Amino acid sequence: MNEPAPIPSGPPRSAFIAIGAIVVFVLFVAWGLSERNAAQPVSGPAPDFTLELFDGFDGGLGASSVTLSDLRGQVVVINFWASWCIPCEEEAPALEATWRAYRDRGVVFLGVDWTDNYGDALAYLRRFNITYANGPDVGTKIGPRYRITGVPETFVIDRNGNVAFFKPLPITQAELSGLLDKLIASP
Amino acid sequence: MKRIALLASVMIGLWLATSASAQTPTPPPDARPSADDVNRVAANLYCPVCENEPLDVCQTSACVQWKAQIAQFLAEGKSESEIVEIFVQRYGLRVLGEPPATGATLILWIGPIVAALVGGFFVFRIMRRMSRRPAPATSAPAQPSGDEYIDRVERELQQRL
Repeated sequence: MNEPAPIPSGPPRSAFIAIGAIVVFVLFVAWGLSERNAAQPVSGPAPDFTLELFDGFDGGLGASSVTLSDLRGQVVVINFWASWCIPCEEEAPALEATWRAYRDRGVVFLGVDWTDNYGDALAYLRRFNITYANGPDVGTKIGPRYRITGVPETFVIDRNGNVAFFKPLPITQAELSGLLDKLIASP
Repeated sequence: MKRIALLASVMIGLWLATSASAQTPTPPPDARPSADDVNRVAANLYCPVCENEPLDVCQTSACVQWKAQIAQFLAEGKSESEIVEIFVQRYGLRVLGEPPATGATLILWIGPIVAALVGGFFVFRIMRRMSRRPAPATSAPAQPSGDEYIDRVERELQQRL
């Protein structure tokens, strides 16, 4: 007569559930920390976004908003700024001068106004005679996609939609011109 | 005739009273709110530039501008909730001190409660299982060995244990 098979003994099911819950919690915390410490993109596909433009600041695009992916095939300069940002004032004339020099050569400039009062932002744009496309980061959604840590920060996107350059400081006309010449020349 | 004159005078009086009340001066729309009024609204808002610092105590240029904007909205007659709504629309949910208990952020309020309940349930189950576990069997009384000395040691050990 066969004896019944012994019942396998082991850790209770609740132990597996508890361990699973701890693993999920640790993964969740790790994901949060990695997101928090992630740096600005310096290569690879540029995060897409749609920028609502300030009235009168469409940079000749003839639209009330612009989506980055629609500009594929052109070199795009994305500049994050704010009217309360003193270093932004330092680079504002250089950005406008570079835009005027390259606007007919397949280059688009997008100014993204970050956490700013609209009235102060418009006054700033008029003060520096800015004419390229500019709009507010409504809901502070674009800045986090580029993981900006402050302003000014400038990204340059190549014709293929990849990040080609990033600078978290005021940019000069000379360095921007050199970079744009190179990107315009590349296929 | 007297009654007609009386009625007319009453009606004129009422009309004058209504006109007077209609002309009661209301606060001008551009009246500047006090710093306390601004700070009451600002205390519940956070600027993304300076994390974890409420707007009312933050002294950065950005926060000073935001407070000026709050003052402007208050002067325009907007309520605190309307101002908060405008700030959320413009700058996102991160301006709030605590996430709203609606939509996707509802999980932030419910999640910890559910986790505590589930955890408490498992702790309860484990403790109940431990309390039901039979106590370790006590050793049976030793059989007399025939040696008086050893039997006495066994007895005393049993008494001490």
